[in-house]
Amino acid sequence: MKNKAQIGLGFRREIADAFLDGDIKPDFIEVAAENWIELGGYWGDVFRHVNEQFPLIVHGLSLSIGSPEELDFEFLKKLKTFLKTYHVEIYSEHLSFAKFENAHFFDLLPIPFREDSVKHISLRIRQVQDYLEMPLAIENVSYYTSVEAEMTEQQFINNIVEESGCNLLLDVNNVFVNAFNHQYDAYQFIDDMPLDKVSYIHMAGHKRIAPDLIIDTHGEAIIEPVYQLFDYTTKKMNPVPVLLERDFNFPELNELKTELTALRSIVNKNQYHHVIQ
Amino acid sequence: MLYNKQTYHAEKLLVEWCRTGNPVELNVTRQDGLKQYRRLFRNNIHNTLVQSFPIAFEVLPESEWSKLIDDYFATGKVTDGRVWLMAGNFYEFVTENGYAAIFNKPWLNDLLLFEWVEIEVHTMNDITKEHFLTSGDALNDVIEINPEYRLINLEYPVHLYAAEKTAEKKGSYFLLVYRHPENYKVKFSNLHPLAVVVFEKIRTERKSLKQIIDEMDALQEIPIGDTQKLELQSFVKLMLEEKAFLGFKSYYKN
Repeated sequence: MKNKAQIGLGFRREIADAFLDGDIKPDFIEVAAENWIELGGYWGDVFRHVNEQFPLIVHGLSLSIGSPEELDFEFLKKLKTFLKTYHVEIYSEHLSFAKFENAHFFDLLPIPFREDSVKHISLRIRQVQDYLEMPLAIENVSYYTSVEAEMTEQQFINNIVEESGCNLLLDVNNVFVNAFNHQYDAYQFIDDMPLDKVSYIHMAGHKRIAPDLIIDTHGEAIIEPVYQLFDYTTKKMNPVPVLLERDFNFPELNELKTELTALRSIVNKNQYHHVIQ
Repeated sequence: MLYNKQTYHAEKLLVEWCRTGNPVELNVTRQDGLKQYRRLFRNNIHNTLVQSFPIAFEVLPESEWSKLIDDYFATGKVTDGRVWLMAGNFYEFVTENGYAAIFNKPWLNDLLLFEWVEIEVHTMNDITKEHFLTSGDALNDVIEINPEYRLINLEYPVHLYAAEKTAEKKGSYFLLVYRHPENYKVKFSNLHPLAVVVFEKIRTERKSLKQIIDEMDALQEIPIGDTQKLELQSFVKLMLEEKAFLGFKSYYKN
């Protein structure tokens, strides 16, 4: 899938039949590794079938790159087997922490934007990449407060990408959400990102729960300002796979198809834009 | 670890806040944002466990369910990142911390076990099945059991009656929970203690039903009358029909 624009959709159980019956045909699917590793029975069978029909990108939830404790190599071993079994070319994880003192809490907490965090996380990313023998794409996450920060989010991301040598999964919706919640310029943020290191893009909807607070829900349609930011972003970079994330509150399939089409038309329009400029 | 003490401490306090809601001294840019984490974090746990334990959620008063969620949220420790395993961890947490006694609901542990085992059997990794024959003699041939099962012993028959009505029915109940090898549906069979003994012997000793009955008779382990012999034959036939037993081992055929 490298260097070729592809539009994918998250494979979720609630809409599994649509994939299996051919009612929706994205260029690829994305799954969370933890939801499918060593899964048997009905869903194991479904997964094998859907994997025969679509290229697979794997996103992670529990690696917890920002945890203080040692990496979980038992999990990495299972993950490596999973990635090899299904010929996965892109594996991504969140720039956050999701466990502490080996207790998982199944949500993404913000890592303090600090110099020692950069060193700690960069080392762990290199360890993961060495172990898996493939690059890791690290995702800019939505966050609702920063904690004990010494630098800005964009400095933090840039420093980690540079020091670890990882790729970036650029979540454009998260940029929008964070810019709104923390009152910075989303377009400037995009300009400041290492776009040559972006190997994958996420797009999603969100929910505004207060006049000054947006929550990244993955349960709503993408709004126009996020499409505009996506348009701006894709003009500035090589085409990479783009995923529509929808995890809750699933609409009619036609609505998902409309979103996939909208993303594709923007990517196609911008495919050679940055080369011409 | 390359975190310094301050960074480590910041993460620790953030987790403590999320788990307990107790005030912490953290330098944050948005206090309202901090509150969102606790809300989102708790919702995740709550929603996962409601989905995993629909009966327990239904029968427990809201205050008791909330107490379980809050306590688990504050002090539970899930060491595996696969979310479906949280249900098993929650069952252990509730059992180990004695909530059945605290709530005066002696059936609580069994109810949670019953609901968790259904999830486990439905979801657990496929187990490679040995070669077997689909036709044979239920009495004289060696049975190949379906390896995707759990056999649990319950004190309260929560699989037979509404949980609240089982407090007066304390006893020893055996429930075979297995996954149909073709349609993957989870099925349940309430087993008589004698059937459990035979099931275990089939599983571990790889003998035919006739051999097992004859040996039990000879050793006078358990006296088996003609009626019980017929019942055991019916049991084996039923388990074969229901695919709890897959078929017959060809190489053990008498």
